[in-house]
Amino acid sequence: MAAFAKTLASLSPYWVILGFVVILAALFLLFRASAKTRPFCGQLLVLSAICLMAALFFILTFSFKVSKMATGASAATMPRAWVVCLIPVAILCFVSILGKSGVPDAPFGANWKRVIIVIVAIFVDVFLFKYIGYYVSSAVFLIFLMLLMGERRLACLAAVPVGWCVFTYFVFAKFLFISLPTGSLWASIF
Amino acid sequence: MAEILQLTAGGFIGLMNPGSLLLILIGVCVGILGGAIPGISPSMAVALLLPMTYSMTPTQGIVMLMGIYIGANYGGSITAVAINTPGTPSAAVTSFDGYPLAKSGRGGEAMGISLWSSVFGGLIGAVVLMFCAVPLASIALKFWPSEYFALCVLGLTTVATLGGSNWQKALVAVLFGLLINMVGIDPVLGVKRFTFGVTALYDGVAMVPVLIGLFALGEVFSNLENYKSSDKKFERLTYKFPKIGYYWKLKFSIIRAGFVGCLIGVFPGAGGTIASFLAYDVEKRCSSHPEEFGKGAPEGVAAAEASNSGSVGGAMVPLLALGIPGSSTAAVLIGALMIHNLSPGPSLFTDQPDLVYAVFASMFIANVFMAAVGTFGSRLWVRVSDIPKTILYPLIFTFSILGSYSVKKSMADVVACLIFGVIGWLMKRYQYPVSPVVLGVVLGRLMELNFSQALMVSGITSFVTRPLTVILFLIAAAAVIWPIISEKRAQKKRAQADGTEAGK
Repeated sequence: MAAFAKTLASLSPYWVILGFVVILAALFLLFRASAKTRPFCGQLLVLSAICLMAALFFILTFSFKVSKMATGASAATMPRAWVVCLIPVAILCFVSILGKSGVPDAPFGANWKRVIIVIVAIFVDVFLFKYIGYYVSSAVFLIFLMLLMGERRLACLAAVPVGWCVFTYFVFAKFLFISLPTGSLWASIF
Repeated sequence: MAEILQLTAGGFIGLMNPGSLLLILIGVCVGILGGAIPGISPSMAVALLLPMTYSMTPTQGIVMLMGIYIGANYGGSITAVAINTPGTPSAAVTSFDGYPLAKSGRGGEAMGISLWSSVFGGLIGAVVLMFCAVPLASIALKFWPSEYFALCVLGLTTVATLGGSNWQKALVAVLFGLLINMVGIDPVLGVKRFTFGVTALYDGVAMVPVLIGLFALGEVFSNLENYKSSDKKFERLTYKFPKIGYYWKLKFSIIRAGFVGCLIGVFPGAGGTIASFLAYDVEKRCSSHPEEFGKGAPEGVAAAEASNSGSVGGAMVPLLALGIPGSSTAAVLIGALMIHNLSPGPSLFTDQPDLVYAVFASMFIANVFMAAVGTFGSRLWVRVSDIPKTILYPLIFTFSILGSYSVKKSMADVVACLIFGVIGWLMKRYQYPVSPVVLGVVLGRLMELNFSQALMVSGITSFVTRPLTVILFLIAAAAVIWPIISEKRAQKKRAQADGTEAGK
């Protein structure tokens, strides 16, 4: 177990995330395949994801260095305790989801694709901080989101990003001394 | 008693000059602004303005910082109620009922309750601090790690009330929060856990990005899912603030929560967040309509805010009486005292009585100023629903990103906020309550630290041999078992009543 745990701990986080996604995809197919579990697929997947994370944490506790200072409790004690507590709770939850009182998943709203676009846009916005800086990136992000939400008034599309940038500059950078990323692109130009 | 009143009166007289009053007012305004901005915690707001006190007298400097501390504790509730974005971790509990109230068109009511509960909770804290600083501090000193651990277990029992009918999912959620807390360097032995070599994870998952993600982003993603372009504006809400008689109905909730907050605040490390969770739980258990909690119960908002503000007075108890910080903000205040060549602790009462009683007086004055500033400010904040969704939602996203970044100026926190936003959205979609996750994140580290310390000090026996620990464990057990027994009894009575009616 310790050797396996050490191999897992040495993996890049991207591999771990990929493994996580693959297992969840397999579980999704499994839950969709059965008529009994299909209406509760989302709830079961959330529960499975938490259990999967707990299982990963439990295995990884075997890779922890054992400190000579440790008396009574080690670094693995509490994570293992919580995982052990999760086992009966997850079983109870599983039973309650599939039981008589279980409520089927709500169908996805009409705009769930827009949510995905927004999530991707936020990640892109955050990624761009490093290159074009917080102010430009946020202004572009605000305009994009407002357009996505159906805002068409030019005055709003111009005033909101400018107002936001002015507000953040004076409140955060000048008053609270929190420097926001300025961007490597501008640094190389100016 | 008469001596304390006399000395406090002296403290008031010492502060009755335009300079000191203006400094307290500035402190309160800055504190409210700082508290309302997610990512600026009360301790950060106090620390940011600490350099400004260098040129002031010690009394002026400390009373201004007290104003910030008190203002920031309230400020967090403004965004929690208006846009479901808790400005401070302790305001997370305020959003449980404050935001549903605002959403149902009772924004003015929610803002009013949060303001006046904060004010009265703060005043309760100030009174307790004034009269009980020394005896309370000595009780806090008697608490061993095993008692702190038992206190955390008691805190965890609040999950029973947070989950409602979804208690199985609430338990899963709280354990998820506790597991999230395990990421990072172990607080006792310094072993790296679940970091996969990512240095940004060494410090663990920061609290504020988790809160902003789960509450603010999760809520907006959820709203976006069902957003229609034709539905650009919110329903017209009422901004009417309740009359004084309305608050009178909440008097017992405020008093109870104020005392709970003050008591929890006394224990170093516990703080306003745990206090607000516990007070909310107590209030729900005392309520005649517990089913309304989480859906917009005024008592829920009152309990959360009164306890949060009451904890300020509590946190000042060990600071002034023993020189031990009761919260992170109190730790910054200790730094402020030291900068002014003052040593916090019992000697402060004898060496600098003027300063100590000026602090007591400033807490009363700051709360009065907070009532005035808050009344004006809340009327503006409650109008946030006038902003079209096409503008408000994008602004909430940028505000959330900025708030997460401000905590440690770390992009990793922003990414964590987004991840927890998606988690919050999915949990909400599939009826998993998110508030137990916050409870787990709040309590996890404190529990682990005290558990390990208790084992190091006196082994596993300390959990069963120390009377105070056992009492706290028993209270925790009763908090879980009692509702089950009373529900079973009620079921039995209902069945008997049905049987009697059928017999007739």
